[in-house]
Amino acid sequence: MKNRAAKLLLALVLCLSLILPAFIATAEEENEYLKPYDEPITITWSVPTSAVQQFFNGDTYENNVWSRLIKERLNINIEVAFSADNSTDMYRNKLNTTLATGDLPDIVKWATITQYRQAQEEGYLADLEEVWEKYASPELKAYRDRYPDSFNAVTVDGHLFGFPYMEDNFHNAAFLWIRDDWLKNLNAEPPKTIDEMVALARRFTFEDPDQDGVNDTYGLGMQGMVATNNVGTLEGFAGAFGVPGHNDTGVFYRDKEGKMTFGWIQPGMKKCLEIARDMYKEGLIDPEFTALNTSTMEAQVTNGTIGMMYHMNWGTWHPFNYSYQADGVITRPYPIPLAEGYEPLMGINSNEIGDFYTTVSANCEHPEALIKILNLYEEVVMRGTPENFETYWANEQYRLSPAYIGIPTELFAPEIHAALAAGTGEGLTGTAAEYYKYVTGFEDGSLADNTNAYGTWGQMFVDGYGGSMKIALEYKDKGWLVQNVLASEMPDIWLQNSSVLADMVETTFVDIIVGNKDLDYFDEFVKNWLAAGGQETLDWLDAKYPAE
Amino acid sequence: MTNRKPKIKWKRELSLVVMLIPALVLVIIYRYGSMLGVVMAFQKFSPAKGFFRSPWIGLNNFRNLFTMPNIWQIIYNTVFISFFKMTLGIIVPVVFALLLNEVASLRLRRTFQTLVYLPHFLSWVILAGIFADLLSKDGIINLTLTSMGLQSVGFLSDQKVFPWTMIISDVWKGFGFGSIIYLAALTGIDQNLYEAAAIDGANRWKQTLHVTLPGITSTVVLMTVLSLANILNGGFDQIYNLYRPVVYETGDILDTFVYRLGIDNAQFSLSTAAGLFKSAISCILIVISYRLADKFAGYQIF
Repeated sequence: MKNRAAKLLLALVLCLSLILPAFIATAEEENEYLKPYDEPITITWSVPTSAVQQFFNGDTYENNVWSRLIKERLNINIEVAFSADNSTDMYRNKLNTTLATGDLPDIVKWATITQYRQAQEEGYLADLEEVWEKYASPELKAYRDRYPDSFNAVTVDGHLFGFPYMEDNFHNAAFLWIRDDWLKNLNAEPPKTIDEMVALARRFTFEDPDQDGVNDTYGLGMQGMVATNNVGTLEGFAGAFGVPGHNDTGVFYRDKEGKMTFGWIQPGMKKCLEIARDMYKEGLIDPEFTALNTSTMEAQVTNGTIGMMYHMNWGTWHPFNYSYQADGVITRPYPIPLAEGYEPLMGINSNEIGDFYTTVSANCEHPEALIKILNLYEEVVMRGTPENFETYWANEQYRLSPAYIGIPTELFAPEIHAALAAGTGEGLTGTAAEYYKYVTGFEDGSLADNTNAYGTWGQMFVDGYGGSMKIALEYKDKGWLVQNVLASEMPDIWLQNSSVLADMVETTFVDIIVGNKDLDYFDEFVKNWLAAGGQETLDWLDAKYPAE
Repeated sequence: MTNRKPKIKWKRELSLVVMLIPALVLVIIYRYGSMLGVVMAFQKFSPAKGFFRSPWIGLNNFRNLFTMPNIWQIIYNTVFISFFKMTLGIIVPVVFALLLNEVASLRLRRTFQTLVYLPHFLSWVILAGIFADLLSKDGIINLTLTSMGLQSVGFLSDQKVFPWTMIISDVWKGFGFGSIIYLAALTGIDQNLYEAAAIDGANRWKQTLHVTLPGITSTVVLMTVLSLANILNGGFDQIYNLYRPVVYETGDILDTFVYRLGIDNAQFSLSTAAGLFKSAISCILIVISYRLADKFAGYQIF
């Protein structure tokens, strides 16, 4: 009898457990996350245009897959308040005018943290804390817990004022990218140490790796801005010598002894410059590299002048896609070659720093609209069907949504790697499943012409060394990554002198490599750098972010 | 009696004065109006606060500007580059105009003139691409040099050569257009003077020395003194499009420096301070050169 009652109870509970989620689900339907407005509302936004943006079927910035989807699902008319080119200063200038007049569109995407902060301090921005609590879907809310650093940049006294680019910057470290065909032609192995790297560069320079009988190649690709840009810089090279550097600002961090310090002034840098100088003298680097910029550098990649280059995780998206499209050349990422006696360190941006800070004007009558758009984006792109992913994310379409979320690669990558190792994509959903299809499609040749597939493949493939994401995860596990401490808040001295300090870094490094200055000038550079505002910045950071 | 004349004049000129008003309004709004922006140089300017609420910080921006570690090198570079651009920018067009003037065939003269004008109408953005190609290690100029057994030259990457590359390419771009005014001055010389000189037994060379040159001296002096005001303009478009960190030491000029300073972190105040400094120097030079022009060339505007 007792047993029977227990069984009955169990059965009841089981039944209920089947039904209850359904109830909860219906309850959720009635929630506000994606509820369309009864009357159509209009939301204007500032559009940072970009040369890489692609349009299909006559779409425009005014009328495109996202504006139609948002209208259909949420009954919001998305309108362009103004658009300007974000690859030049146009967009930033336009935003400055907006700041001066205070006449903001409903949704503003700030291009720099400085601009966002000015707008926030002026009270131009809506406090989103309340609408976030009420309207954000549980999946969207998870992002705030996952990326506390990112959200820290847009949170004032616990109140949310906008959305950062939600992602973990761990993958922005440097890798050594090498052409497959040259390695094969010379029967060479990818280098594991700096000495091997130099030796390979020598062979790439003098042993005619492209087998055209002409001495027209260089070992290591490098450009004139050796410390500031992304493509072909000293970033990964110096990383081997325990010098974390990252584009624009360089990296401030607390070293092993707990002292606040700066990447480019580390003693290991001197050794790195010595080797680079010797490589230059020997002709392993283009004698005219100082005159190269990112785009002329990319031309060298496309026409097969260089075989090896330090670059970031997205190499197969840009610029190695050019040589792939032109000649079918595969270029792969490898972990940076190491230097004996040095512990490698690589710099990444603070997670507070992203590409845009998306905010809502204080005058907007529907601040929740932005949250709803993000709910929609999260559902369609992160958990949607493959067709959705193709339509709304691929080919740069995601940029057309007034607000978007970065693909959380650090979560997807291990899943995809496991699936690739197991040989089956079952169990993968949403973005991860798409990525898996791209990688396998590229490997078996069915997607060989798809640039999205080659791009994804370079980041995700698992085969011997693995794509850039696998390497980045290894860097992370080994503790080689340091986050820049200098983030959304900067001292006045840095704001004022940073371009002078950056010039010092650039000119000193280039001058030493080409032989305009002695190697020992490095010591003088360190002194000058500290005196010209570097020390003051270090002290400010030391006080602001005390050692734990 | 003394009253009547101006009144008539005023009546007659009224329609002309009215026609001037739109231009005057435009100048007031777009020239004088935007000049108010110089207050930024004395403020810690933030676009959100605007001119009226940004805090005043006196001369701090200027102090910061002149304590920048490389500022004196940059001022030196600017003066060096613009001095030679100015000097050669006068000598070359004058010589060219004299030579062209000696060409007898009118058709040939016109063809030459049109050909040398052309570069003036190309922007530095385009020319920079062409020059970067021509002057690179594998460019046609260095290939020619090496095939003649000479050393190749780092026109854009050698610190000693770079300023001269800038000066010479700028003179090349501008001399054709610059020669227009001298050619005009040459046509203004009285032909009787040449005849008289010929009768006196002067050959072409003597005629050039004693008739042509004195005839255009006032124009040359005028152009020289007027260009003095540009001593702190090294030519932003050109240098910005052609320089690289490796030549900053000798090629960085005030304008490019201020550009990097201002754009990097939206340092509007500091950039304005630098701009104001430049304007102040230019203003002084304009006054001096105006006096000089008056004294040596008898030139007066006011």
